[in-house]
Amino acid sequence: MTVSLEEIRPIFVDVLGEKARIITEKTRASDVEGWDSFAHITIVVAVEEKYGVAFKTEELGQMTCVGDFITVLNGKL
Amino acid sequence: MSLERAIDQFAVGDSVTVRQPVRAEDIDRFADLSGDTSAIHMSADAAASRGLGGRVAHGLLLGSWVSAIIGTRLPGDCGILQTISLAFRAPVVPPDLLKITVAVTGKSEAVGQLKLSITIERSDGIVAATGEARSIIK
Repeated sequence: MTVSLEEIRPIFVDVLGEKARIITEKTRASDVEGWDSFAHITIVVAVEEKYGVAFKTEELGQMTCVGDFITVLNGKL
Repeated sequence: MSLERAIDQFAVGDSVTVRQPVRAEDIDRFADLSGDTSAIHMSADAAASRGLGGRVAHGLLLGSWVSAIIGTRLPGDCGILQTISLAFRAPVVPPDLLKITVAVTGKSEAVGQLKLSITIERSDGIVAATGEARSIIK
């Protein structure tokens, strides 16, 4: 199973609003207004619960963009 | 050796139960504080005309007691309440003695967030409200 950006985009839209529709794999949190620490926690937990995975703090620290997040997620599926 | 983080203090299954009395004066004080003076809260007659057994405690008064548990007991000082939802299933009419239980049902180690279940039970055993909250541990 491989998850694409389009599959998890609804989570970004739910948390960040319509502006999340233009997020690409190169997008960084700092590129999106409203993607603060609270929003980040909500996104990470929503993905964990949807796919039944658990990220590690170190993994999150190494992610710099949405593409990194998807790569780490797919490594757990 | 790794340092213990605040989130490590908590495990799924941890819970706190508090017995909370409900008095008419609590409803008066909450109505004064919130401005919610709806007739079903303030008048026993108005409540009876709507098929209720007496003045009904505000749902968010019950929620404020849940907030007190989350803020002082589980997780307590190290938590920041992020979300809370409550579904009100049966009216609470004073005097009553509620059993309010908050329990850890999930946790995200990566971001330090606890998922909590909420159950509020009347003294007759009827569940008055259920809900869920999330708290960030820092």
